[in-house]
Amino acid sequence: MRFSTRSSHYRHYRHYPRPGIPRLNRPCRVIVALFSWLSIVPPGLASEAVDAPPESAEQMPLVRCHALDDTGDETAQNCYLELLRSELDDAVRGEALWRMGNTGAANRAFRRANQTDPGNPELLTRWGLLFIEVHQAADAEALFTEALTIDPLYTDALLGQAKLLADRFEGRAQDLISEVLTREPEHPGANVLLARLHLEVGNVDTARTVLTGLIDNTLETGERLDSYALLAAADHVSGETPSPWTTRALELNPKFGDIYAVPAHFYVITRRYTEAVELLEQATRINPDHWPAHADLGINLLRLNRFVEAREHLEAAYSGDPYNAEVVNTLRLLDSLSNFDTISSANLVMRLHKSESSVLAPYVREFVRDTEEIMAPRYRYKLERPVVIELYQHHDDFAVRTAGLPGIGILGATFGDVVVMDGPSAKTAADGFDWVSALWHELAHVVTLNATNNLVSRWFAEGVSVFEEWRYGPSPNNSVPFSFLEAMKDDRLLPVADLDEGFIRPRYPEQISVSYLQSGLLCLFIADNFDDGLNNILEAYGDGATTVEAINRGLSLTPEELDEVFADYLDERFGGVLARLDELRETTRDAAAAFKAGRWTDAMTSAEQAIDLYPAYVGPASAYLLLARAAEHGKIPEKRMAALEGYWRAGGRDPGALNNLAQGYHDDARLDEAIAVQSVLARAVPLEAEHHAKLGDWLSAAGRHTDAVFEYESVLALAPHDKASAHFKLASALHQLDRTKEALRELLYALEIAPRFRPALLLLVEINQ
Amino acid sequence: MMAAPNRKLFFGVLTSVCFFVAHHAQSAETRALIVAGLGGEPGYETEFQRHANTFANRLREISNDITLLLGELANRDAVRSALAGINQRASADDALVLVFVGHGSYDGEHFRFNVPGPDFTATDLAGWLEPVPAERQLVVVTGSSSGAVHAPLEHTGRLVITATRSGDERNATVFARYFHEALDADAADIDKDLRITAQEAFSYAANGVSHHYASRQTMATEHPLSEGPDGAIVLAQLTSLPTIDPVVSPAYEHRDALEEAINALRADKNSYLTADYYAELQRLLLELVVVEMQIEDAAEEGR
Repeated sequence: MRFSTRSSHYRHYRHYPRPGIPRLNRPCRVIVALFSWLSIVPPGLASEAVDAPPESAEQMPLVRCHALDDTGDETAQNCYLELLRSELDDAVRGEALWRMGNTGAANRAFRRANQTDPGNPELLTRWGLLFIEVHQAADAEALFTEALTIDPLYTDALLGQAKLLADRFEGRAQDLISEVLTREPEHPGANVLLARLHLEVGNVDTARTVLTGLIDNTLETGERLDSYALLAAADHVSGETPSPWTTRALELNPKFGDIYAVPAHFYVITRRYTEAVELLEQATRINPDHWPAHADLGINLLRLNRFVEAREHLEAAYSGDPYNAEVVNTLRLLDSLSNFDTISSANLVMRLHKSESSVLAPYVREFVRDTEEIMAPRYRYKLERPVVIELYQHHDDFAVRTAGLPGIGILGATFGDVVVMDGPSAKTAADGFDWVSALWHELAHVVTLNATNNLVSRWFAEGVSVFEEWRYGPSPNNSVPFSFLEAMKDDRLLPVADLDEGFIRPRYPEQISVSYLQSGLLCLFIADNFDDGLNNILEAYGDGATTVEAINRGLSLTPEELDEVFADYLDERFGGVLARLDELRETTRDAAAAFKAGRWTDAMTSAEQAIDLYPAYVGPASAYLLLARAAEHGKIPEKRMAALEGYWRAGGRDPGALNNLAQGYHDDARLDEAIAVQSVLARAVPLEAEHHAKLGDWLSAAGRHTDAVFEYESVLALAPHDKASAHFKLASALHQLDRTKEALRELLYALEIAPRFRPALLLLVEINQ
Repeated sequence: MMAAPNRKLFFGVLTSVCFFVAHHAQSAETRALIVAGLGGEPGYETEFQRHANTFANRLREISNDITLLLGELANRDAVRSALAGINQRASADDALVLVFVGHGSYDGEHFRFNVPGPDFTATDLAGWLEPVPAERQLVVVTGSSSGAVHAPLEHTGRLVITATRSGDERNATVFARYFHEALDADAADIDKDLRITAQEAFSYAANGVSHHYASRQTMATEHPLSEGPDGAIVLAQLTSLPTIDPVVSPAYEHRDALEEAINALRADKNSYLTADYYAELQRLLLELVVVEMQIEDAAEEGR
């Protein structure tokens, strides 16, 4: 399936308050209020707008219309129509058309205005803001850049760029806002955006301070409503509901949908989808034409597994804003779900592609059972509702399901009880994708999110999931890549109190993955050094504690003290490697170079040195794998097997290496070990019939016929080329288990394809004796 | 359900003698020409010659008339001459197998086999094949753009197998690797008669090519294509087959009749209730086992 990528990679924060115009049939005007140019409310039209500055005479008709619009007056549309009959200035016409929801005509008007008055930074910025509203971030960015080329200090263009960066959750947004506030400390738009960024990383008090300082100033209605919506969001984030700011906003504009949609955004980014959906329902109720709210409602209903309602709202959103790529993509994805099987039981709902469901369902069932019986009790939690698991064949389908847009860099996402992720055919195991570990990671999220009613912090949720993967997951290991060691060396790890920022607004390319690893190591450290530490912290989050409070309560430490003892732990664990990191890199390079040149002995020597320096490393370019290959070329089978065994024991899961190791064990008549490795391989690469067939044969040879039946059934579910053999082998295993009727059925299937199939004929005779 | 045959007797004769004798299709001679084209670089050169040798070696088990052209010998004149020679030796009952391993090119009009010296086109080849009397013919072209040969080589009784579905698939192919692997693979023997037919080899190779690209998550740049009558041309046998023993030829005839009955039953599957269908299938299969035992016993006594 192909998806549009016109919009940015992350959801726009589109609900930034702007008084809605009921029944004007246009998208929410998120941006206008932040970057006011013409939309100043005349005195007296909005009760709380005080001392608005006077406007020029030619702008007054537009200002009058905006005033009606900003307060939800239904005559606003007539006002704009009247204006368009007499107004000749294309810049003003563009504003009116934009407010009326005719973004195409507004764009044309701005273009004409730009031809008449080229190089006007104000006009370019307004035009750019229009492009943001129609999801054309690249065009918007180009116009802001053009405006800033003409006037490098033009505030609204700088804020336009900051808005784009903030929508992509990029840390540089903060720098641009600071630049504006240094020059204009009371700039409303900059302060509102700053408050938003603070709220997004949980600095609620700071956000409130910014906003309450702001609303004491003279503000136009739109800016005031923006501030109220964020103040309401702060109340929601803090659990202080109902918020008085909601009432005040609705007094100004009874159809101001963003008073609900904006707080919903903060629920969404803190994974509280049920609360977000409730607010978005209210937003669409008071303003049925609030298309972004419909879009967000549709997408978040999907996260709650409420597909029918989701489609209704997505279709509503599409009817009002057909340019929203997230909506279009999600509707296309919903259409494609007809190719999926939905398999439901008391504790589990699976959505799996029809071509894979027979093979994958048993594995998923097993992991969910283990989660219920083993993992959840470890965190003193009991799964209460069915877990929903969706596995996608294509990464972009998963991305659209998660964020509405293709191109996101994650492998799985958990929305409360709903887990969606890349399935084993979305990425290859050879590229390092371990779908079973990814599933275990997400199931840990189900536990931590539900145990805290979604109040758990990002770093702790990810930390527990990574810890679970490493210690108890289907592929346990905790190999830390070089990028983490380098971040340690360069002192780029974040204090635990700020660790969430490493996920939300990364400041260097690897920071998200470094933050995952740091969080995992923190949880590993806590689990090993504090009795019930993880559970105490989890419980504190469940009670609404902040990270600082949760660490205090859970460990009787301040975050700074935790940072200190954790740093000692890291030094102890990685200090040795860190001190010889350059040597490790050099040795690894030497091994690779020798291998490439066919100097097998040199390659083996260097690889062994690299393993000695960092035996736990099984990531990309692992020295174990290089050693095994060099030993193979050097014809030293014992060394090759030893390298493969070392790799396997350290947690390495490269399918080619496991295949070689399993075969090596089998050839050495070490059947149990061969089966152990082959079992992991067959599960890691579950859609390869060959792995299941080989495992089935070995299990049969070991007399483990029940397990063999499972593997042969997997082979058949994968529609193998040689169906007759697969049916026959299954029949043989069933026969060994005295499941004669099933055995006969499979045997006849085999002979139906290949009537002269000698071993099958022999078994038919035996069964009929 | 009919009575089961004597188990002890049936299990008594096992491994060394295969009781599935290819007696019809292989009674006539299979005459083969294997050509390895220009590699262009050492890697391809070696690979093409390895595949060509493998084909030839496997075919030697069923054929005494194999011409293998490698390196400089695999030129236009040699190919034409080899086919002229086969033309002299072949009869209508024979099967002709022509395998070309190597690069091809297609200019939108003509497919050219890349060989040392002047290339030859598919149209040239069609002309050289025209007088060959063998009524069952197989042409396998394993390289890039090979799909373009289907139109010029279309002919009654000729099965044409190519690595690509058109001349526009111009990248180097992996088809030959799987086609040659098929000749030695139990899994390629779909009907378990211990022989690999051209169609079985194609099916195995097409599956392998598809899996090759899918498992690497890369776009498939070749789509194998098979066009023409099956012809039951055998390319390899998975075990040595005894010649037909005239003493037991009635048993062979009985077995053929049973196989025909099974085929008819399968073709008519939809008109049966499922349980009745499989009951009847089982009855025929058990009868087939008895006949197989008779053939096996005769073979054992003859040794």
